Amino acid sequence: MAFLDYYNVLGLDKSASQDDIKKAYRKRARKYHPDLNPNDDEAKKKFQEINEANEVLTDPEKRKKYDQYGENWKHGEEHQKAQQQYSRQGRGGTQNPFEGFDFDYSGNYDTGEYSDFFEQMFGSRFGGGRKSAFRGQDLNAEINLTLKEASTTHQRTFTVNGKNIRITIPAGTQNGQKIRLKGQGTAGANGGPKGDLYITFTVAADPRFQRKGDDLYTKLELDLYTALLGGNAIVNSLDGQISVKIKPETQNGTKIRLKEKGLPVYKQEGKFGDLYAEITIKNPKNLSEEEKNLFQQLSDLRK
Amino acid sequence: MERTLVKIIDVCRSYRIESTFVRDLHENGLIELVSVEEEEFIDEEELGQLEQYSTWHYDLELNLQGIEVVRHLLNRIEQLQFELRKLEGHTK
Repeated sequence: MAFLDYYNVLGLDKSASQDDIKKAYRKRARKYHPDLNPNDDEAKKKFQEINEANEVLTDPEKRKKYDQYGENWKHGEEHQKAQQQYSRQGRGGTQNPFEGFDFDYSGNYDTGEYSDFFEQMFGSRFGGGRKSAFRGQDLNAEINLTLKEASTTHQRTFTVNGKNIRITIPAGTQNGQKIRLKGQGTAGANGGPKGDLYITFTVAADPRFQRKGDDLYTKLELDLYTALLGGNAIVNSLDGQISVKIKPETQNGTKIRLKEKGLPVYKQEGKFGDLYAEITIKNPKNLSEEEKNLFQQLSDLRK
Repeated sequence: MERTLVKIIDVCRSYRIESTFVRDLHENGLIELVSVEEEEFIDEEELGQLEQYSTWHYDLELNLQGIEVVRHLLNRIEQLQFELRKLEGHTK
């Protein structure tokens, strides 16, 4: 690793006070923190440098060593030997200039993981194997939602085992999805832990739509003339009716994709599935003699 | 799909954060809490988010309004980066 001028990294000079260092660190951390600069490797690198600079400069002992050896750290070994020799001559001690430096490059910005501390606290409790003979019973409850209800984030209050539970149901909840409320089951025996409460969501089928993940499928009946000549048709979506353009000579079974008119994606605000409308062409019935003749003429034209 | 809810009191103890901070985040619509009688829970899936907000608040000294603005802008950045990747995919 190349030498890093920690003072330069924090925009300070060597006479900076602890307060100056703290202020400079916070200011730069806010600018380069990887949380605030997603997918930016430059910012990540910069943040590591800032962290490292802060760690060294806020520790009086480390700062002293850094100030003493500075950019000559690469020659630490030679320096150490010299120091040892010096020591053998009976004066002073010896120390690796960077011994005791404990840089923490990782920070705590990998949002996909919990901190070690948290894992230590909760890890074993989240794991399986807790079902001892003395554990309380788990309880199960079911919440029924219509497809429309499953498409919006909303609050629901219900009672399980005499307890009122208020819960936010996020938009895009899937049929069969479960939540577990730890320790909300029945009490354990002989001081054993309480059981859990499992809530299962059942999303009722909607006769108008078929759900495939976040996408919705619906049928669109078209009269023969619109299918042949083109025009407009109305498609039912969860939020109401949408007018769509039909191309001339549209075939039976054609699917029209209405982008982002499906269900919201679970816990991904602003993202939606698509709505597909499958066209079924409806032929006219009870044709008059005149209509029959005209269709015959059309048929003859194709021969 | 299963969600696990954890007591706020346990989360605060392990993160060493104040429960008022968690409640403020909830009141500002930044995290979701679930109430059972007097007890409050958080979805396990939201813990990463809470940890992130705690870092911003306690380490970077952002106040709630700052957190809200940053969250909004980050969502925007992520959306734009997603669209950019999509467009790059189309042009290849």
